[in-house]
Amino acid sequence: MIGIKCFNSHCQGESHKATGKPCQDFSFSIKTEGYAIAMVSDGHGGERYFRSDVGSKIAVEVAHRCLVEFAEGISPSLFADLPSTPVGIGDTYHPELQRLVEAIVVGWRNAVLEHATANPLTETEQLISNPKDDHEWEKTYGCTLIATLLTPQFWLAFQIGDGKCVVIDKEGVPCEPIPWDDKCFLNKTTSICDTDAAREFRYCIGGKESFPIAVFMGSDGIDDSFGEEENLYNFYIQLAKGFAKDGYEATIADLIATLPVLSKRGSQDDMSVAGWYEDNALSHISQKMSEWQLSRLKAKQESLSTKIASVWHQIIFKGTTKETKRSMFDELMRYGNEKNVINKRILLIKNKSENGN
Amino acid sequence: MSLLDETVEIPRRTMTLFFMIDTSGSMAGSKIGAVNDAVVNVLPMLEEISAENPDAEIKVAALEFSTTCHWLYNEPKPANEFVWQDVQASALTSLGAACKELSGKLSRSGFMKSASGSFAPAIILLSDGAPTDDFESGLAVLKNNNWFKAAIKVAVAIGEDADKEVLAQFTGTNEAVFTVHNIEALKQVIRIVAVTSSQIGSKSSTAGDTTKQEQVIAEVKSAVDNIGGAEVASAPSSTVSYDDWD
Repeated sequence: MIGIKCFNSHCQGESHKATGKPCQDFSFSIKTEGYAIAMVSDGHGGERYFRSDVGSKIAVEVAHRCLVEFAEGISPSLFADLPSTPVGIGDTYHPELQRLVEAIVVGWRNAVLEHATANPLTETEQLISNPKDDHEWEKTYGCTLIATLLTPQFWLAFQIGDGKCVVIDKEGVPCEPIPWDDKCFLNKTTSICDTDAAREFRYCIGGKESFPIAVFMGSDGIDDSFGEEENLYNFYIQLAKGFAKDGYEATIADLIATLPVLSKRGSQDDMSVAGWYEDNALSHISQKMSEWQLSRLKAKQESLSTKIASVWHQIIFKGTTKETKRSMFDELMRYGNEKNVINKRILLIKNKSENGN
Repeated sequence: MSLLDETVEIPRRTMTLFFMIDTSGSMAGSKIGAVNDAVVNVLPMLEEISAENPDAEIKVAALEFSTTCHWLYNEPKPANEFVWQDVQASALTSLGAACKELSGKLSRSGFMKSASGSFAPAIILLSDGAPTDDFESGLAVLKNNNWFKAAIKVAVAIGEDADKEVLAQFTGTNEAVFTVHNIEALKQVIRIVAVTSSQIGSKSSTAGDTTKQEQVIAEVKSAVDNIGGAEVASAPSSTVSYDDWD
């Protein structure tokens, strides 16, 4: 895959450090002449999932093997002309994709069974697990999985569970290509250890014309740190601009240094990020990515101006008590501070953009 | 170039505390006066919890319901910006309509942000009577709402006439229904429930696999044991309880 670069990094979360839990996230990426693959897997943190750190590694190993077989075994032209096609829960899977996810689920179950057989539950582990559940040994290894595959003919991204996959298109606009699953909500997620796991994958697949410039994926520790999607997109744009301006090695070093800091300042959870990007094209869309950021910030600025005008209108024209007035001035101060932060951000993005980033 | 410079925002998460307040006619007088007083006094405490919590900002929303429903503000507010305007009691108890109204706001098009940026909300229902509308259909709508499913839900039954069965259906367990029999107990329980729900609801970590609702129930239960005129609704009725609202 000439001109494609892929990357991955994961680290133990701040809360895991504090409680002595291992890092339950795992990430992986590889590039050959025929394909690029990147993925992240997030082992569940609940008490009963005490082997999820092993489960996430197994998920990545099995998915890697299955994706290589998929890339090498499929007719090169099958998806070549396909527009970007998102497939969500309840939609009909393409038969080849159905076979792929079934192979991953079965492969994962066989591998964790093998691990469980070689490493029987200790007495302490038996106390935590539920002996009435026939699938309990699987559950202890439970994890999510997000993966992407790029070949010269098509690209694919698929996912079971939470975490987010974000792509940046040729216009420098970020979006989430894989349909969301409403079962993944707050700390609840679907999992590769679910009985019906093969029906819980969602994906997006597309031919050559629909290739994104960059694909990023992160475990929920990443998106929980950023809250609103726009903040997450800004982080990935920052990463993309880093690759474009500072190069691969420097940006990977920055990413490795950043993830523990992000965990501390953000969700406290384990962190994993992986993806691939088209090296030359990325620098060409840097300006467009900045324009997208600026357009969103200007929209926020306008919305805040409207809110400020509305509060002033109430203060001036509507009878308010002394207490209400005080709270309205608090509100005005909050909006003012938010506006200042946005103004600073706009200036910074403009300056960086003028300096080629 | 730092990946976390000022172009990237890492906001605090948000936890919204909802008050659902029965303002039907039977609440008139000392009951509604005590509710007004208790909420006014608890707001600065919530402001303090929010300010001291690096994980989450606490916001407050309040819905009063009688014959109709009415939000005190059209968005959740930080506690310091939430000026409580005393609610007045009159007319009927449309709890079913209030459930539907709450469900509408428990969404991204309503009061909630992205799930990634939020903790599950805490919902405190205060009522002294029984619904006069179609409560079941309202609750059925609410029970399908993902935010409601994940929420910490606690109810305060004000006096013996409160329909504790209905309140237990709302919270999902009768252990989350606390009964109060006098003004002082009402004030204290509102304060304890609001403060405990906010403290536990806005924390990143949970104690093992215990739900946050279970943690809130356990803490409020132990506090209620020391308040005269307050009890867990499911407590055995061997102790005679008197309502005293004068």
